[in-house]
Order: sequence, then structure tokens, then C-alpha cells
Amino acid sequence: MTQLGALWVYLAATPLLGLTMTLFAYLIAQGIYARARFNPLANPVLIAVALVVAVLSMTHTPYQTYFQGAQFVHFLLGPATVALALPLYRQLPKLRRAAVPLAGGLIAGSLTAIVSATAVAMLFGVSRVTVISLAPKSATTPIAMAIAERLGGLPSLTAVLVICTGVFGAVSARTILNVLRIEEPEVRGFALGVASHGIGTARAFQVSDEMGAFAGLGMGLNGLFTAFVVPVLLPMVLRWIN
Amino acid sequence: MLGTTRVIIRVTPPLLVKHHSINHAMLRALAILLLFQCFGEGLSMGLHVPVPGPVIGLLLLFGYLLMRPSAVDSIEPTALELLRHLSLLFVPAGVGIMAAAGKVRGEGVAIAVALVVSTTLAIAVTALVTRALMRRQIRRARVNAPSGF
Repeated sequence: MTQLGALWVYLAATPLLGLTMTLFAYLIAQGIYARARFNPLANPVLIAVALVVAVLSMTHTPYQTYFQGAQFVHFLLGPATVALALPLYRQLPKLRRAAVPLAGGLIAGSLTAIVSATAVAMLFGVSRVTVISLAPKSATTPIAMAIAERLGGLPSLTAVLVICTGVFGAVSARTILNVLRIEEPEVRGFALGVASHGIGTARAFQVSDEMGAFAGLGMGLNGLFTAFVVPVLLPMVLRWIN
Repeated sequence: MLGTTRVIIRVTPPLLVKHHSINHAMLRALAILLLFQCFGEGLSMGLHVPVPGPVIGLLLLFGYLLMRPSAVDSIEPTALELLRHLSLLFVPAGVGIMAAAGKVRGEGVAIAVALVVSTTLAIAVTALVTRALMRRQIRRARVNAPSGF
């Protein structure tokens, strides 16, 4: 047993273990997600995070030790964000067909997401760091995390909040849109993509390809819009509160 | 048995060649993505723009693709492969909630309410504004169409 403990201490100190753990936790989570027939509530990222957190706390491994290995995966977020240019380029023809309505919906929806999230949080009197981490929550995760990091928020809190936003949007969008009697699939998809990024987009693709394509467009445009608006808008809101 | 062997011998060389070129394309595409990220980070830091470097890199690559659409085919397979596993890339940061949880203790309810209210409003406002503008566009098209003849 002590030998096993020593072995664990040795392995836990190398980057290898953090990386291996991340990949296996993700594969297990993907398996559960598939078993749950891709129900947004069985979100693979949340499950994988829970699995890794459980192992780390049971073995008393600090996050820093884990991250030494996991950073190789984390590093790929940058090039993956740049890679979002390709789906956006492919969706350009759809944008051209209805440029004005989509731009109007994007600006209104994105500003609503940012302002209402920060306003409600500030009414409750949360800390400045939490407000910054919450502001970009409707943007796609890599962009939202980069914004939070750049403005002094907690990227890891942002990551979890963005994913919870996506899950909530994916689960509740049908009800919200039905209450408002929105029937057009392109409008339903676009709203889902703007408000709840990739998880909403995955949900939209389950309904139809057309809805999914417009959701993907909404996700891409809102990621860009949020990246330019939050750094300008947020300091103004924070100053106004102080 | 003999037949199987013959098939393998006939299939292997072209597969190998193809595999090699795919790998090469993947490396080149990855290098291009990293290069655009470097440009983005450089511009973001150098010009003191508060926009994250990778997002500027995204826009620069997008502009490059508009100018040279022929580049799309060489970058797209690698880019899509990277994006296919995008959610894996959130796991290391997500686990960081372990270390960050202490800083937001007691704010759970506020965060949950903000999240639910804001996401509901964002879906509703995006949908209502987009639909209203689409209907206006259709009405205008109907009004303008006959006058063109």
C-alpha cells in the first residue's frame, strides 16, 4: 500500500498524469453523453470536470499539479479560437441573405445578455471578479475565457458559467420560443446560438440542419461581438456602480 | 489467404502516400493557425487593444480567407478536426473551479439567478428583434418589387 502510495506520488508529480486523466475523463463523459442520447443536461464537459475534481480531491492533488499536465490540452484553445474563422467563412452566404435582421438581432440579444447578467449580479452585490467572469457568458467558451482573463476575471469560473448558460439555454429555448410564438426555424436557431453558443448550436442541429446552421452563425457572430463590446462596456458599467 | 495478401500489397502504397500528404497538410494548417494567433496576440498587446489575441487572429484569418478563398481547402480539415473536440479543451480550465470556488463562495444564488434571467432574456430579445426585422425586410421587398417593373 505504501509502495502504491509512493508510485502515485511519483506519477502525480509528472505532467503525464494530468494529461492522461483529462483525456480519460472526457472519453468517459462522452460515453455517458451518448448513452443519455445527447441530452444537454448530460453535458460532457461538466461530467468530465466533476470526474477530475473528484479524483483530485480524493487524492489530495492540488490543481496546480494537475494543470502542469493538462496545460497541453488547454494550450490548444488559442489555435482552436482562430480556427473558428472557417465555419464562420462557410456561413457567410447565410449572413448575406438576411444581413440587417441578423445584425439587429445579434446586437440587441448580445447587449441584453451582457447587461442583464451584470445588472442582476450587481443587484445581489457580488464581487467585481464575479461580475467580470459573468459578463461574457453567452459567448463561445474559448472567447469568453479569453475575455475574462484579459479583463481580470477568473477564466475557470467563466468556463463553468458559459457551459451552464449553454445547458440552460439548450434545455429552455423551446419553451421560451414557443411562448413567444416564434415559428421560423432560422430565427429560433439564431436566437439559440446567440444566447447559448455551442451547446445551443448542438441542440439546434438535433432539431434540423437549417436551425443548426443559423445557430452556428449566431454563435460565431456573438463570440466576435462580445469580444469587442465587453472590454468597452464593462469598465463603464463597473465605474458607474462605483 | 493468398488473395488477402495480394489485396493488402496492392492497397498499401497509395494509402501510405495519401496518409503522408494528409499529415503534411495537417502540420501546415496547424502552423498557419498558430501564425495567425501570433499576429493576433502581437496586435492585441502591441496596440493595447483589450480584445483577446486569438479573437483578433480569428478576424485576421477570416480576412485572409476572404482575399484568398483557395486557402480554405488546405486549412479546413485540420480546423474542423480541432473544433470537433473543442469541448475537451475546456476541461482543464473547468477543473480550475476547484481552486476558484473559494472566491465565489456565497455568491451561488446570485450567479444562478443572473444566469437564468439573462439567458432567458437573451433568447427572447434575439428572436423577437430578428423576426421583426425579417418581416420588415419581406414587406419592403413586396412593396418595392412592383415599382421596378
